[in-house]
Amino acid sequence: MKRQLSNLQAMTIVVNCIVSSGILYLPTYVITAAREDAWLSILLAMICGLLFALLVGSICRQYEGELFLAWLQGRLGRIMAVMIGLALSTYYFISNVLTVRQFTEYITDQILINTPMLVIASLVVLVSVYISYQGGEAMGHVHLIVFMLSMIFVGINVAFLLAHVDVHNFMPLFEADFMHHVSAAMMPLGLLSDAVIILVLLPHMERPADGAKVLLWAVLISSVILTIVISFVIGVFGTQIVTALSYPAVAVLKEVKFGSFIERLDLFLLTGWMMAMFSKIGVFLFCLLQLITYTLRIKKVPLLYTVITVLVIAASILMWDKDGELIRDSAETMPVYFLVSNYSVCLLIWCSLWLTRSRAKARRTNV
Amino acid sequence: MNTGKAGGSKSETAIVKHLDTNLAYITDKLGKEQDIVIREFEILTSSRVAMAFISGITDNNAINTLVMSMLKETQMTESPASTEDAYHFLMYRSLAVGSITKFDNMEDVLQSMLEGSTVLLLEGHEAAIAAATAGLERRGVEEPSTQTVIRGPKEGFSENITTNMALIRNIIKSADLRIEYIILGRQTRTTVALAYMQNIADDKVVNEMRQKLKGIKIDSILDSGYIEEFIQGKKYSPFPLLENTERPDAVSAGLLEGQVAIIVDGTPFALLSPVTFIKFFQSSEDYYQRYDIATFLRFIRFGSFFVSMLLPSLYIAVTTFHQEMLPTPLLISIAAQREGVPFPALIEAFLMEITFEVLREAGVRMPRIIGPAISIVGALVLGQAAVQAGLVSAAMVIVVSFTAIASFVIPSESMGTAGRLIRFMLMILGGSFGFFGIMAGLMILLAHVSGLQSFGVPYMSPLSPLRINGLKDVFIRVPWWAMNRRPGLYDRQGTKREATDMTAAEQSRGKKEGGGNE
Repeated sequence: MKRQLSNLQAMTIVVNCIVSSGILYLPTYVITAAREDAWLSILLAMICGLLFALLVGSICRQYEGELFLAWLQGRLGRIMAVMIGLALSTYYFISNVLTVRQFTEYITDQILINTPMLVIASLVVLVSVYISYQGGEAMGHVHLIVFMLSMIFVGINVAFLLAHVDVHNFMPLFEADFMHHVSAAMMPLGLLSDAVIILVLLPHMERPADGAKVLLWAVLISSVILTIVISFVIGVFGTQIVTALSYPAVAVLKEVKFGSFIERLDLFLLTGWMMAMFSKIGVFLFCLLQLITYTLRIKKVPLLYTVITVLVIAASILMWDKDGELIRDSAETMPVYFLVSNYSVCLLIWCSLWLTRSRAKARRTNV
Repeated sequence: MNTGKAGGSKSETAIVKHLDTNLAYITDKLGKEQDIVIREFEILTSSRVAMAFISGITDNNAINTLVMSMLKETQMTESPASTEDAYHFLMYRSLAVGSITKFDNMEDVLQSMLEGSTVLLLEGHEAAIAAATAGLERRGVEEPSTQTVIRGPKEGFSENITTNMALIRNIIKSADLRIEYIILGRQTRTTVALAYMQNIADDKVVNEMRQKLKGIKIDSILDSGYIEEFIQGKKYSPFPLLENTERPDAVSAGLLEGQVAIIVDGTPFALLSPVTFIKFFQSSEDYYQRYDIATFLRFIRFGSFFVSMLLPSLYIAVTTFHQEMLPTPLLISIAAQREGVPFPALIEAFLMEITFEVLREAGVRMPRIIGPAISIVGALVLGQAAVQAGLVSAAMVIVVSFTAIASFVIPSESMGTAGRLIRFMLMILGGSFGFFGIMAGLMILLAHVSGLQSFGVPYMSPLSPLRINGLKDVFIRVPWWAMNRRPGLYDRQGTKREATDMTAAEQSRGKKEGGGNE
């Protein structure tokens, strides 16, 4: 396996995964819970996210090559590796289904109103399958370029929107109490737990031991971007209107006008976000396939690609009947599941590695 | 005649002592056509010698000189004691020609004749002498027809590999320039040269390219395009994975950055590899004119590439799905133009694009004398008349025309062609799914180019993986004095290119100016 994923590329993968999903539903959720202090809740989530990054980074430092699950099997045994493989596979499958549906929902709701959801979901998944099919190194390139383009678009958006920001919308400051912040921080914390993806990407990284550094930067940058997004939503709309909007971060962009020649620049300005969504689904599919292939010892990878593609499309269409259910699950249910799943799996791995460290040391000495 | 040497993969026919048998072999293989010339002499008192060559591919003057030198030998007073002595005299004393080679089998003799050499066979001697007399009339060094520049060298490659290699050697007068020759093509026996700078090029790339070239088994190589398809890594990609150029200065610049060049006899187009996506937007002229102008032109080229790929699809997407993006007056204007057009925007665009491609292809093939007439027909009938007839809208004609012009801004024709192919795919996606479809198409393209490698070098470098030093010559071209290291993409990492101390030069000038004032 070629180890050609640089630290920068690995970081951009994590940032794209966290931020792309956060753009759609995070502002409404956080601002509803913490009102004018919503940006503080993101910073609170960031602190917890950084601690989580250190935990995952500690696992990265102990990594000794080969596939992640193969390494775990060597350290913790086959049963433990299969359990962790299944837990992570389930997470990536559910997360993929949710992301595909969120993306599809937005497109059918805002851009292609008459196109059937099945067609959009199929296109999203097929493009993402092609991205994941290119392999770990190519995905590193894709994410880095998407990240750079996204940052250009963020810069343009910020420049255009600065004139629309009303500082009074942030007042009164520090009104929300601690419990409100805890409640508001749940969703961003769930999103930040996507950092666990680095474990599956370890075999592709040039320097796996740098995992902690990569994750710390990724969590920091993601939190800053999300804070900027939320701050602009509050600054432009205030907290009253936001709760009534489906996609406030996107609605903010509709305020942007370039003279009187071109209107609805939001479609252009959303380009970076759309690219990040495709990239996220691509890398999640890649991780899902890697995990399932090893856990279930599957040899026929092309067949698995086909099955996973069909399953993800079908589940993303059938799992949610109404738009409201999707919003509720995206903002409340799923972040809790992501939080519990990712944190508990990482804690389990970390504790198991800690308990077996003397055995591993003895084995290394014998070798 | 002895035939079939054991052990070799190819059976060889040895040269025998009996001259007539050797000559019979030549006439048997090459026929007795008019251009196969076999002339016999008696030299050195009584030695019988035969000279064989193919007229038309040999230089008559060189052959005349050769004959004169041999005949002159007969006037020498000393006579050879044996045929061995006669051979020795010919080989080392008589022949007035630059390069001679000794052969001991008839296959090499025939091959040598086919390459333009004149072969001398001696009675009683089991070896032949081949004198280099190749001299086919060929095009001289002219200005390249496809990669013209306003400022910079005007020399271009020709079809003669010897001339082409000389042009490169004339630019790079370094002992580190290595040129390896390989013969490819069972029937054409085409000479292919592999050129690289020994101290700059990556050994792995050179070895890989050498192996790939040696692995080509084909009966004919008529152009470097044959080789390109054999050695490029990914088989199915619209993007070129090797750069082609007919400019010696471009090849030399590539060699000095660590690229490896392949020059093929019979074509003015040399290949350069490894290559990156960005390289196709760099023109030789960028380095000959001021860096600020070069940078500006780079932006124009990148913009034109995206216009040539995206403009028709964006127009289709906006007019079909996202009319709200346009201000009302413009929207009304476009709607008024499209009123009466019987086709949807996608079909309309396809019709116009295909028409343009037909015109373009016809423009390449048609005799030059009728070119202006066809241009008028194309411009008036297919443009103005089609609009007046209500078949297409005027806005669509503008879009297609601008797209066509933009596609010619890209310095590399092969990258321009890739953009043309991709345009059709994006038009279908834009016509079916609007901006979202275009985004999906662009993501497929991004993933595709991200997965490409040219001889181990990622196609998207130096953007990804990010190489800061390589960024000095991507979107902007920094001044020469700031590019003190090679880009580090193709060469051994970080080799130094220059060490001009600009600060010292500035200080020195400052001192002089200061001294003048005192």
